[in-house]
Amino acid sequence: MFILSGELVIILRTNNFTIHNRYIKSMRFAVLLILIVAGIIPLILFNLVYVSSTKSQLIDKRIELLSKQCTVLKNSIISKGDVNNLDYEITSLYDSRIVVIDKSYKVAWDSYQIDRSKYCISKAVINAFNGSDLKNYDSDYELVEFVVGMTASEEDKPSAVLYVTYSVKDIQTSVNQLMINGNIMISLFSVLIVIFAIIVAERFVKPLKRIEDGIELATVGVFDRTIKESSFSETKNIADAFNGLVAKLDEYENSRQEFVSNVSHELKTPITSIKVLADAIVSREDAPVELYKEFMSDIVSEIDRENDIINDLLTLVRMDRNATALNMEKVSINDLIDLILKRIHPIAESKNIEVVYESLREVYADVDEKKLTMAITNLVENAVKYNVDDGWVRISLNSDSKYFYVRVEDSGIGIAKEDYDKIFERFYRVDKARSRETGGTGLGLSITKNIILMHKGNIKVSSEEGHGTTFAVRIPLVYTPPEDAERQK
Amino acid sequence: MKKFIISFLLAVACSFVFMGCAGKERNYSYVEDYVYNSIDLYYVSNMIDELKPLKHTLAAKTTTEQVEEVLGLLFTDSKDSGYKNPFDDNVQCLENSFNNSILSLNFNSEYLSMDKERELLGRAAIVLSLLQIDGVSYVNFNIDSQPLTDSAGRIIGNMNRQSFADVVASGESLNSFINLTLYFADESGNALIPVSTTIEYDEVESVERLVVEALIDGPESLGKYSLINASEEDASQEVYPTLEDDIEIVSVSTKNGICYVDFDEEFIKQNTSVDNDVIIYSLVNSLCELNYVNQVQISVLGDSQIVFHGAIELNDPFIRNLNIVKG
Repeated sequence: MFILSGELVIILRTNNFTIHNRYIKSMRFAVLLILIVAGIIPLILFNLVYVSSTKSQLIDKRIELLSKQCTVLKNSIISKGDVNNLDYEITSLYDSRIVVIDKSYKVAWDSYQIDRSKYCISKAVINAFNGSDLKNYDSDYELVEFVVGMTASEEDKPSAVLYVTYSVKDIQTSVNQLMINGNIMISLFSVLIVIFAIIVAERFVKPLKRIEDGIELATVGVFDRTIKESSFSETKNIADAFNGLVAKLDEYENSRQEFVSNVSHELKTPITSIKVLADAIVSREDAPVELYKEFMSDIVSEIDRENDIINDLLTLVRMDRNATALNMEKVSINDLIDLILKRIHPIAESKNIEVVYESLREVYADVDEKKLTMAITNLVENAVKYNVDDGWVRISLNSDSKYFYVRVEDSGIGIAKEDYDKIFERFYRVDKARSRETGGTGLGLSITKNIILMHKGNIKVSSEEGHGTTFAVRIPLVYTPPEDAERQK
Repeated sequence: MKKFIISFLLAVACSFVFMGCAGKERNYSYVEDYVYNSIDLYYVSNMIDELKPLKHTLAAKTTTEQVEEVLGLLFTDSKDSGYKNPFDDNVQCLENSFNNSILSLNFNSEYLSMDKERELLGRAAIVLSLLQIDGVSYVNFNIDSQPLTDSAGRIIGNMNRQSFADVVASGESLNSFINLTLYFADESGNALIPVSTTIEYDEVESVERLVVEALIDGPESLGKYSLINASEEDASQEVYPTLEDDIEIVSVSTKNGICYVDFDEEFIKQNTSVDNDVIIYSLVNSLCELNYVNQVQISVLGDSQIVFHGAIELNDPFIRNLNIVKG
């Protein structure tokens, strides 16, 4: 039983500790603490300073007043001459004590009646006989004391010393009351400040909580809710930025779904064809071998097609993931294009398309040979594929101090203006039927654009439907990897 | 969160408590027996304006030897430049003699050539140092075997602790000891018992106020006290306070033999088992023990038109009442 509850206690203890720790680190706590301290500490300090300065003023004023009284007393003693019959007129208005010491340091008069006839060995009295009077406020006993030498008119040195004290306890009492009143006010204000601080802390922290909730929703995959937060411009900015992020996420999610559905569709198409062909030949009774061969070769080309699509997909995906895996070398672009045109020659010839290569200068550039070849090949292939019979394709290569430019023009069917951006999207085909014939995967331009962007270049298209299309590519001669570029910034 | 606020407020509240306290605490201390042979040797400051005490442990055992030891130290040249010997080097103590507990010192005539201040402080230093020796109750000075006289020609005579005073409150170099007779209640609460006690007194407030405060603080705060005129069997009886200790004194002052005592409202509110008579006369009788007080006028916050506990009118001054005193 004992051990059980002991365990429980420990578990509870740790829980409480974590909660407390988290609270202490919270902004709410910090704002609360800051407001309370900033509110209450100045009040307390002000009270202290104010009360102490008030006390000093009161004491100073009292000393002034008493100093005058003391002078009056001194003069009356001097004029009376005889100190022994002094009936002191100053009553104990301020709980005063009057002592007169004669020049042989004997106490001639003491209103407290205790030191009469004693020898006074006080330092202040000795100094007063030598001409140094004393005016002093003693804060321990709360009194003001005066030690003044009394000099008769014919003489130059004091013949007696007057010691007077006045209690200033009443000032301390008033000051204490002031302090207490001040403290009461501070307490009241403290309560108000604490309440205020709690409210303010809440108000400052609530927006953050709203944002946190909004983010949490997005974390579990809800992308269609926006955070509405406009209490402060800062939090509004965070909310807006977040909303933008979520919109992007939403976009990505949508495009992902679209991509997946596109991919499935594209992959399915050859499979469907294969199935159709296979079903057809199987269902045929007594089909001749030649028919089987024909159908099989059709199936083979469909499989090849499927293979192409899958390869292109892999290329695309690999490029997306390894943007930095570029194999840059200084390459002769002229030679690169020469090679491409050589490969394209048979296809061009079959359509009787004239291929013209215009190379205005020798161009050497930092490029990934393999990838760039793929990209330009794709452009040239498209130029041939989407061309009319007896048409032409013109490739030109130029450069300036910074970039090299490759233009691929054709006399083909052209692309509508509204499709300019879309053609670079994955699986997009302007005319689905046509590209099926020509055997495209729909990914070519997407891969091409990716490669060119990786080279920090750009690609533009312009076209006239029915007349032809031009693709213009621009790539920097010198490749600066992304991290260096960042550093240079 | 709640806990934090509560504890913070508590802390703030606590700090207020300390702001209320002001002023020095009085402590009553009775005259202590000197258990160890440690005394204060008094010297004179270099500016010749005050005494400088130095702790010293007596080596000698008998009174005469201790006197020689102290005189030796006070008159030999010390290497310390922080203070001076009580007297100039040319003033010498020729001899000293004892009669009962009175020590007589004889000086050479160079004594008369000293400055007033030096003579005063030096004399005080020597006498106060010697008085701390067990067996020395008085000291007198002689010059060339003639008794020392003051400037008016009067013989100064035997000096003890009470012969000197530091009147200046902030000076604090010498506290006085004052003998008081105070009247407290007996066990039944309807009679007064006088006690005699000695209080160390810093002379900041008047003796009358000291008396009233002692009555308020009660017999337990006095330390040593002895019953006066008590018979054998009464000698061990207990005395009890007559005024409750939360009563505050507003003011105490004496004029023309009448002592005016003003209390706060706690004086009326007090609720002891002591008789009203006993309360009033403990105050009156104790104050009238002072030779300059004959009557006592009591008021509460300035008002004397009060009937104390519905039984005693306060508007006339009281004289002392010995009927109510036991024994």
